[in-house]
Amino acid sequence: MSAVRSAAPRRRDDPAWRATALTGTTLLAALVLALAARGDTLRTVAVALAAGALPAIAVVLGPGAVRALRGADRRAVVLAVPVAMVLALLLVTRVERQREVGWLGVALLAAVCGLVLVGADLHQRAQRAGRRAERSPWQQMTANERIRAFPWRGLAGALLVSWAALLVVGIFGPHIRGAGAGSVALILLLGAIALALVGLPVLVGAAARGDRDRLAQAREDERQRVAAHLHDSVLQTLSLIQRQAADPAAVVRLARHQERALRAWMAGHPEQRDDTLAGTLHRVVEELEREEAVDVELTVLGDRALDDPGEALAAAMREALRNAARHAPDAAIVVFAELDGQGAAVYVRDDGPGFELEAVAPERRGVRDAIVGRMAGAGGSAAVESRPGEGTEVALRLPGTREAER
Amino acid sequence: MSRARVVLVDDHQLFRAGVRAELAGACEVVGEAAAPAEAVAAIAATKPDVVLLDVHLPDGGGLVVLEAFQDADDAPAFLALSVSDAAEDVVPMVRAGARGYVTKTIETAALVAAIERVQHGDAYFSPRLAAFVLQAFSAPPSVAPADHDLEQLTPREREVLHHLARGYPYKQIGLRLGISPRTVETHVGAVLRKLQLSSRHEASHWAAARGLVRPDA
Repeated sequence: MSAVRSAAPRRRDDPAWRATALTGTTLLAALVLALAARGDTLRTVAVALAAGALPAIAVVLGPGAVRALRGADRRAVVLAVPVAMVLALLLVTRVERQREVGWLGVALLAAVCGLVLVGADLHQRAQRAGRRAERSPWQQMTANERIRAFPWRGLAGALLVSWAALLVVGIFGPHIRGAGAGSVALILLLGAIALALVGLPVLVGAAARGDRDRLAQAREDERQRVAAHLHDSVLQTLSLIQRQAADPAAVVRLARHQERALRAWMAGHPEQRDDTLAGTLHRVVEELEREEAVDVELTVLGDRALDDPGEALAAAMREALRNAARHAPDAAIVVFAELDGQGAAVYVRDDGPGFELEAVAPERRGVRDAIVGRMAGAGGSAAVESRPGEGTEVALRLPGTREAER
Repeated sequence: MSRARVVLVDDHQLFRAGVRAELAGACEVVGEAAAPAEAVAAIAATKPDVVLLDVHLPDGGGLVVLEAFQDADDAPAFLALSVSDAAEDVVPMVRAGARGYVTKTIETAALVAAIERVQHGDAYFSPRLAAFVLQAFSAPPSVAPADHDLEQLTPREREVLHHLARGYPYKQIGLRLGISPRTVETHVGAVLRKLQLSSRHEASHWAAARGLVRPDA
């Protein structure tokens, strides 16, 4: 019963083998039923089991021993099959002394051997398809493996199984009239199983091949996606750097910008999302770095959905950054943002020259309108803190959604 | 102030050569290594003040080196150095014993300042590192989910860390909070200790759970 399954103990994960093993088991069970329907249940079950076990032993253990001795593989299976058939036939007829049962044994053997052949063929094909998928086109072109496209073994196996089915019908044919509807159903069942034996593994094998093709396709798609990304980003930047080699500041800026983008991409967030506040802050900082040729160290903790107050916050941050870039061009600019449902706070700090808040002329309304006014309009607040020689910090705050309702 | 004796651990020879040249005036580079085992041997042989340690190394990464010296009394001060500034790289290194973390794009003056700071037993928290550490201590922790035994920060420590994340230097943090710069340093040191003492082996578990190092490494 376990003939087919055990014939490939290391290949249990191959769907073709599983299908053949399953149908083989069903066939044996059906034969046991068929024999039982003819009379002495116990004896016929024993005979069927013996008939199943004998080829199992011959097909599995025999080639195993031969392989261990000579290192050959599947050819041994093919050699062992006829030997096992003859042996089993002799034994069964000896024990049973009934012509029909003898023939049934032969049919059983033929079916099992056919299964082994079909399974081996499918397995080899699946394996080859798998190997092909793992290879590069160059390896495929230079492979010296002889590929037999025509399924000789599968065909022989299918023929054996069909022959076994015909044989069973031939044996049971004369009994049908007397045996009634049960036997007819049994024969139909056997025919259906014979068909399934040939068809199912082929279907499963095709599906497995399809899976491998899809996998290979996915790999290729991924490679193309990576290549396209590298082309648009890294290669583009490298060519820009070559063209601007005379301008060290531009080269540094390009390299830093690209480095940041590549890191974000490698960390798995390739495109900054524009529908969250954190993504928007990142985008604004990047745009400003490009416009004003400054470096900004931005760290964002948490995130929240982008709403109108969030947009106002990002716009106010842009204004604060622009001020920092204008008034402290060589200073380090640090932006720290804490975002969650409770609220949002963005701190823009530069360690530039700083200034006296009182000394700012009232006509320079940039800070007041673009930052303080904007935040107040969004229900938040802005605070500017600066002293000569100690840099400037603009703190922008938004209340949480719950707080805003109060 | 004596020049710091430094060992460079990085698997890129070109990078080591670059850092060695950059540090030439300020520090004395006494050894180099390209892999954890080499690094442990070089550190044991030269007894440096400071080790510049790359995060991503073959055979387990910088964490392996940190763990090798975790219980040593005469361990040098480690300053982690990486191209990455992702929280999952930064925080485990600091938790495993690094006194600071800088990215490889750091300017020479800032690198020398960081080396001097860790050489004298202080912590070097860049604004970004301070932000990540703040996040690690805050609930619900999104950087280190299994850190329930992380000792809570005092309000003052949290305040100091928050100012660091905003980019304030120690002197100004002291002025703003009405304490001396030395006290600011003490608070940062306390934060570092809380981060590292929470569990000796938690850092490696933390990293292993995220596939950053092999659990048996």
